[in-house]
Amino acid sequence: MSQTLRGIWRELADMPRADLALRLLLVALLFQPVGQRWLRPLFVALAALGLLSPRALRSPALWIALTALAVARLASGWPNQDNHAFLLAWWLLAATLAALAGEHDRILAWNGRKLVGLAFAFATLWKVLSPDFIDGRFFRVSLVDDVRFEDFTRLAVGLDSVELAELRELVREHQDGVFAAWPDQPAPPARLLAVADALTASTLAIEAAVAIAFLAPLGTFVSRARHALLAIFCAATYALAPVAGFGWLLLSMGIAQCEPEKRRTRLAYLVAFAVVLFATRWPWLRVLRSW
Amino acid sequence: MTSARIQAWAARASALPAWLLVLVAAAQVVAARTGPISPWLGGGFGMFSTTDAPSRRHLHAVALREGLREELELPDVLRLSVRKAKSFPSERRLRALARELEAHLRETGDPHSAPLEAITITVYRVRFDRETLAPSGEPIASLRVPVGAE
Repeated sequence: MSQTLRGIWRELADMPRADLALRLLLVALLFQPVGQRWLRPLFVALAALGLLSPRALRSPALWIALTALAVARLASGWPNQDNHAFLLAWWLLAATLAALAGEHDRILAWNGRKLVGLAFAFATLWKVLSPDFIDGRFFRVSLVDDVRFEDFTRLAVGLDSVELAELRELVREHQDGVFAAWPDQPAPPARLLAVADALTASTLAIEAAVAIAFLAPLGTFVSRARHALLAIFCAATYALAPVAGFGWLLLSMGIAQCEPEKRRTRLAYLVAFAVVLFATRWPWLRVLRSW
Repeated sequence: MTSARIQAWAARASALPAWLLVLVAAAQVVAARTGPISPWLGGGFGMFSTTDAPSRRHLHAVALREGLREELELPDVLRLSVRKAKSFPSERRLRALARELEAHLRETGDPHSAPLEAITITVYRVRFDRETLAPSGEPIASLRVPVGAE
């Protein structure tokens, strides 16, 4: 068993960085098929083909087809497509250009760095521009309302299911105008406000740090910290907020910059990939809460 | 184009994805700051930055008949159009939804009811009090579409 695991690790550690990044991307598309119902089987079939055939993995045709599907997904779903759909399209376009140019390594490494840096720069900009993020309201409401945060909220804030349900009923109250206070309106506990404010500050700090680290010139101290920051961000964020697809996409872009000699960094990315898989498939926070 | 030309073109265009990201994201930031599109959508990376998510928006459609106002139930077949109108309530999208509702009313409505004059659609977002988390609705787009008007 350990022999087999060591063999798999050696293969992953020695793989060209572009191949590893593209394979992770295809694994992500298999685990989390994207797009409207009619697009999903096509994404899955092409991802499986790329994983099974090394020739297909390097073929421009595969990446052109995947990019076309990603663009079709954007066009047919407009305006309801989120960040993930756009970032996937840009990353697949980079893979297409890399395959056409025959320069997988250089083009994917450069685009991976820029796309992560720019995505985090815009995410930070949006948070700074939004008054209801900066003053903590976003997390105060989301911790109550968003079911994806439910296990975390109950664990970190110490709310029981009845208290959480009462608060959820309040924030989901249908309102066309100004809210008229309820006679026995539930009040958010101080700990909820404190946890939300801590999440607000830490999210802003880590996203800004990732943006700066990925956009800084290579070789600088800040730039060298980028892999650690991204792996920590993905493992921490997507373990709490189970949005696996976006996390894996970011990790694929990060690993595209890891030379084979950077074994520890590669391992960190692969562990983060596994953490996201594990955390989004297994309710570990619920198990922790029940202890 | 020969293979060598394609190769050279692709190498020259290798920065295209990053430029497209900047272009689309900058356009989305401007559009969402000046118009009714939800910051969560449109490729500007505004997800998880505001409580104004499309899922928290709601929409009312009202049929106007000879001075009477009748709140319309939004049919399941128009679910996608309603979702799009909430995400990006542009005039064009609201007008299209009104047309679809009008057609649906003609098919399924009571033939004896007073003639339909217009349909008004209003999209609301929700704001929350910072301390109490109490929600308040705020109209962000509204359109009155006379029946039969193009």
